[in-house]
Amino acid sequence: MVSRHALWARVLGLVLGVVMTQGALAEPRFDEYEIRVIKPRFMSKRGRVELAAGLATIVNNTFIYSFLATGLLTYHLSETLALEAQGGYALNADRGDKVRLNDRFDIKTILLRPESIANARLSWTPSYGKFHLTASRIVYFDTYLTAGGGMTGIHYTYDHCETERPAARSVSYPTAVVGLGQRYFIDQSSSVRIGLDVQRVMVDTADGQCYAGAEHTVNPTDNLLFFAAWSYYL
Amino acid sequence: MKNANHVVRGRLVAFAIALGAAAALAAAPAAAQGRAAEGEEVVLKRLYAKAQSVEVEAGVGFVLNPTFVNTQLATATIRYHWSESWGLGVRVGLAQTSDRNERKCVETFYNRDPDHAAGAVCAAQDGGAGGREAGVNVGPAYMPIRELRGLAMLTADYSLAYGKQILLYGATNHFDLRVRVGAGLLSALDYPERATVLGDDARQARGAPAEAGVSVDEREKYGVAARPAAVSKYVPAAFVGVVEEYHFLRRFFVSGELSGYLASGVAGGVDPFFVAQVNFGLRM
Repeated sequence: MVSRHALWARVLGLVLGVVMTQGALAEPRFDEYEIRVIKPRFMSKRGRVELAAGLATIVNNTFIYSFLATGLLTYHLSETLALEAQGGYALNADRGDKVRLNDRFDIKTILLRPESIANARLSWTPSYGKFHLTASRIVYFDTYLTAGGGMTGIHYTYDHCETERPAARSVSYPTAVVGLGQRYFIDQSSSVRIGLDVQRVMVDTADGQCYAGAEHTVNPTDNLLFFAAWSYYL
Repeated sequence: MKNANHVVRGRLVAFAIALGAAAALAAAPAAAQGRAAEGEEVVLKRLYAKAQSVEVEAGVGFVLNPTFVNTQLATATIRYHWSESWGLGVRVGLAQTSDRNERKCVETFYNRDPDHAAGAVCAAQDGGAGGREAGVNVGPAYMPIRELRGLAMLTADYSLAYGKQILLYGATNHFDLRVRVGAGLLSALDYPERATVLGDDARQARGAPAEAGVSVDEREKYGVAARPAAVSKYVPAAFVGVVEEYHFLRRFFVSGELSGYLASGVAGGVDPFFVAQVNFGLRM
């Protein structure tokens, strides 16, 4: 009995297969090298827990550089589906444009300084494969998509406030996450992961104002988070 | 305070280096894995060979980390591979820019505006307390800003890896992982910095309204209308990027490219920026 999920996956795979393997099928010398050369998988993830620690950066911040220490805890329900939790803590530094605006023009910008991230997500791995490095090494990898939600902590310093500066504080906002990434397997118990997340933070603009009573307006802000991590499988 | 900033920056630099090192590990994780049990010939025997072939590609992309202008790029590249590992190419491109709210904001900024009276663009930026001060005027800040217009580069590709993957239990797909470097010229419009009022070099744009800035009604003296004249320039630039190129239908490919550029800066020094782009091409 084939589940509906598996059935759709196979239909989609068949359509993609027609397009992407047309060249391969037409080449006689590769008749003997087809899907079987990728199966069986180098590594089985089903039922295993993956612990990952790594570093990340938000690449699209306007006035600051943000770097995060991140960790991921993943439970692989099957070879393709996994539940995972991500956490991270950020360090930030001002970019040159912000410094120049302050030094030359006395303009202090309101910054959304990321301080922490925490989210839970469902991960789907529709693809796996291997490649051949020029150093005569075979590397196995898989590619995953992920979606979920959580919270992002923003640290306000209120250094743009001239007359009445509120005390610095951190505020957490709901965050939606979608992303994709790849695992490069080192051995049966470890891999290197890279990934790119779009984390949409639902920021309340009133929180950054210098005075109480500002109008509450939700302003979605997208953080593009690139990370690299080392994974260990229990 | 400066020392504290110095320490934080030092830690961040170390952090960035560590991040780069971790990312670099992804390019060479096979050391412990060794040769696979299935044998490497399964990917060695390439279906999509590049040696002695010409690749023509068109790409679209954008600058990932803009401050004041959004930049979209359209590129065309022709490349010759004399081996499976190496190729040389020529890339030309056109860029289109649009102002971000940050630019509109600083060019219409205020010299005191607790009432948010001077315009909507910066209404969320001045942090005023509402109605306590009078005499609001505009103190536009014209930052040194570069608008990219085009590029011409010589590029070199080094193919790190060739592989194949299976999608959704059905389709197989072949791909290359490449490092791409390039050097050449950027065509740009550079807007110089100006800290004084248009037509009155003795009056500062920023300061107390009585001594600096312009009236809200003098619309020709702030915003887009009062920008310093742009200077058209060609500036040297170089980039390094990683490319994942997926092959299909024997002669076609689509690739994702993430590059870091360095160009001589609009206000001296160098300007680093990141470009993400997607390319579609044909191999002949």
